[in-house]
Amino acid sequence: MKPEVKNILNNSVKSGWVLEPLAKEIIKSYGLAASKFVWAKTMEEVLQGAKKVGYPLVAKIVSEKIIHKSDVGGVVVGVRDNNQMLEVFEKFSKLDGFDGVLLDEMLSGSEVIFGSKNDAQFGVVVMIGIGGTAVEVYKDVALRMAPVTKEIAVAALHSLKGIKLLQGYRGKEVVNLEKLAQAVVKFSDMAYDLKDEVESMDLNPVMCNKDKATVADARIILKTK
Amino acid sequence: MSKQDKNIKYLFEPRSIAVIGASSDKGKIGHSVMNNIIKGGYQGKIYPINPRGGEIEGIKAYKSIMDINGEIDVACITIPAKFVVDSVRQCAAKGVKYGIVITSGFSEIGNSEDERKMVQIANEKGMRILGPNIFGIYTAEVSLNTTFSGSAIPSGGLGIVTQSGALGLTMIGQATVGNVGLSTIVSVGNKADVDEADLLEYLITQERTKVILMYMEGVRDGERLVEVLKRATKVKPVVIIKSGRSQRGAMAAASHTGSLAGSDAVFDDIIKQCGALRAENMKEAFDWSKFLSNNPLPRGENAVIITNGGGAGVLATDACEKFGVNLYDDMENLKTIFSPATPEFGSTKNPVDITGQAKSEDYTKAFDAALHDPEIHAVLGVFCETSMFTHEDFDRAVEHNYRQFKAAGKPIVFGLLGGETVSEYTRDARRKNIPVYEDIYDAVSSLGAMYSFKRYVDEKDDEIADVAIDVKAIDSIVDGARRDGRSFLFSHEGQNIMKMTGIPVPKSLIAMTIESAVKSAAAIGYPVVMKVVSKDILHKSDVGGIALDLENDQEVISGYEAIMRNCRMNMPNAAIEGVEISEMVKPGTEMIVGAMVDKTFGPTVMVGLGGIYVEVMKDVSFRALPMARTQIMEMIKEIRSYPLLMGVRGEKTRDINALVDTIIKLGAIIRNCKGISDIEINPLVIYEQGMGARAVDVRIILSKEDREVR
Repeated sequence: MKPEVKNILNNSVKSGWVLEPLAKEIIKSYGLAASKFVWAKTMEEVLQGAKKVGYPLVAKIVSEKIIHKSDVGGVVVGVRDNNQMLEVFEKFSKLDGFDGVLLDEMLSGSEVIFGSKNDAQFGVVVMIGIGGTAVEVYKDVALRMAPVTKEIAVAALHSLKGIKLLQGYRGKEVVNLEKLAQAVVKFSDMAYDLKDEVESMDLNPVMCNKDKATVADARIILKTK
Repeated sequence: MSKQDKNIKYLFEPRSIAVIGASSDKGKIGHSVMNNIIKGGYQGKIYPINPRGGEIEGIKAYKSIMDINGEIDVACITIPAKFVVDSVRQCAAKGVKYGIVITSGFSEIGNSEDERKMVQIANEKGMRILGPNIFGIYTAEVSLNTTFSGSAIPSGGLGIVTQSGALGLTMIGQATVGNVGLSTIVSVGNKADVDEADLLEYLITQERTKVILMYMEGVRDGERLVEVLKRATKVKPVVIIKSGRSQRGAMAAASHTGSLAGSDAVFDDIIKQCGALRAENMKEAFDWSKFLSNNPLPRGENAVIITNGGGAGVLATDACEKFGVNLYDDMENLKTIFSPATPEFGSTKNPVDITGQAKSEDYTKAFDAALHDPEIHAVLGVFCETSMFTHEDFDRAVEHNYRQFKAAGKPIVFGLLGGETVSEYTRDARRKNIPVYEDIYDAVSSLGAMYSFKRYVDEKDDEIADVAIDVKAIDSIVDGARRDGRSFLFSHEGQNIMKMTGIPVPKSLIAMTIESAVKSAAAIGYPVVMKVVSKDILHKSDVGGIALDLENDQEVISGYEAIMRNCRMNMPNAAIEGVEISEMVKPGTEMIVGAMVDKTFGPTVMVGLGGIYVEVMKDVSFRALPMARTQIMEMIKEIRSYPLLMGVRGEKTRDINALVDTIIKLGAIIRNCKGISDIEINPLVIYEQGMGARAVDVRIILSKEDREVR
């Protein structure tokens, strides 16, 4: 484990989970691609950051108290300009434990979800599934013991009913399954590497297109010691 | 559509029967049939027909049916195929009511001509044909066995209708082994004339038949079958096994509804809608039939498991969930009821665990407690073979208690797990018609089938949901499209029909040029969606014929150009009429709703989660029309994505009433507009409760020719 990762984990022990911008740093250090983002805490930083990320963007609350951001209205998709940005900042700053705004690049593509957990019987298990509605109601997911090889990742992806949705279904963009499988392998390596500290992870969604698989949101829950 | 047959009684209860092709030659079917009729103890008049005359099996034979003086209800025809048509002609002239054509060699080998001819000749004189290509009929009512089965048929309460002759014969064998008595067994073979629905009509009213078992391969007149089945299942259980996936796969890939309907899914859903129980295999079908014909229905939903093993209890619990048996969960009451019968280290929670030390008298104690408590409505007894149990112990624990329960009108089933003792005991007990099974799942499956039947019978017959629509106005749109040589409607025509029927659609205008596109967009209000209009392009997104979320004049112009470019590139021969500009619909839950004329079942509706999921997940359910509002609700609840309509992640409930209304309206169109064969709304966007729905994309396919409207 790299020292900067160790550092982030150590600093997150108190709240029991890793804030999204820090979680994305961890992910990047394991070679996964994450959306371009800026963590801004003041009004000036927000406006500067927005310029850097570019409109339209996604604004998300950063707070140790808020793990389910959308449940409290802590996610605004498609912020168009400075005016709207400032409104959102104003609103977020009133939320419990406000610690800034995460300005996130808007990504398009097909949604995939990665997850991991420490299973009592099988140790670290990774999950991949078709994102959005499908994962909610159809439970269209595949589970494998970590770490996985490239072959296992490919086979797991092809075991999903919704694989067609990634293969250019009805005019949708074809997803780069090669890159997606690589991302699964890296994710499983990361989950395995962090098995002593981390209880579970959710990368939801991972946005996939013809070029790459990019993590748009990440939640890392630590083990309680 | 064939009409109800008032004479059907004579097929099952003939007063006289002629056997055409009766023979003394033991190798011939005509001999087996004669032999079975005589041996079976038939008391009506028997007339063997054989060109040589003389006597057959001691009965005077006639050279021709015309030589007989008396009236003849049934003629059983066993002669070679080439003589059958002439023989049927004579029977019809003689006034025979039913021809049972055992002979094969007709449509099943491509000889449809003779089959059609024999039915025509018969029907002209009011005679009906059962078969051809069948093994005959057995009917306990008059002890008549015209089959060529080798074994005697036990009489009882199970009525079997089978499309396969060979399987029918094996069912007779299985019935004998399982000690299941039959009220009748009929094979329908090629179903040239009489079909399942005709036979059901009789079996509904015949008292002797307690349960009906049907084996089917294909359905001829689905609408009539649905109508008769619905009446039958209100009176007695109907168990169906169907093999042979339907041949409708080829049906219009143009319509998603059509291609989904090509699967077994339509049959499965509609059979369920009719209250019939669809078994997966022969064993299950017989298990259910036997259980349902011998046991009382539960008075309520509370079932209890009584077991001597924890693991077996867990298995039983899983099985109950799978087969829809609800476990009683009033822990306080369970404790009161079962404490006296349960050792301290056991459990009174459901499953009630009376532990591995339980002897037969311990089981009896627990069963008695369940029997006498009015809150408990059904019991599953689970036994793991232990040293406590010999054959005699099982007799005391199972048979004794079964008799008590049956007398009290409470159902009980037994799942026995173990080795030789269990195996021998179950075989003996099953012969006595005690519901014991060597697997817990089999036991619960039968109880679950009983619950499905009971729930259906208890359902109220709600009023059929319907709305008045302007059929004339819709017909004139259809006629216009036909004059254009089109087999489908343009999306704006479809939307007009939606508006006329009161299904809300997004605002939209048609534009032929860039200039009018810009004007139309402004009139509707930004943002807008643009779609190509062309009779040659059915799947617009596949060819890049759609532009979404256009926010200003400039984007409308570039969207228009892109669509024209894409369509010319991908479908160079398509005639493009222009573009349709519509209001950008606010996001909501996307559903698919369809109505179609199913080849088998007639007017049918479908609902599922819309967008791209419908084809990948196949999460849709079907129903035959007409139906009540409550049944439409059930159809919606059946889809796996139903929780999305109830609101997930803190969302509010969706406007399910708007969805039901849309289904009713599509149903009214498909039932009344003869020029339309398929309607599909995908997506139908559903908003929060009270906020309604929007039919975003409507696809309507026209019938090849005006179909008959009932």
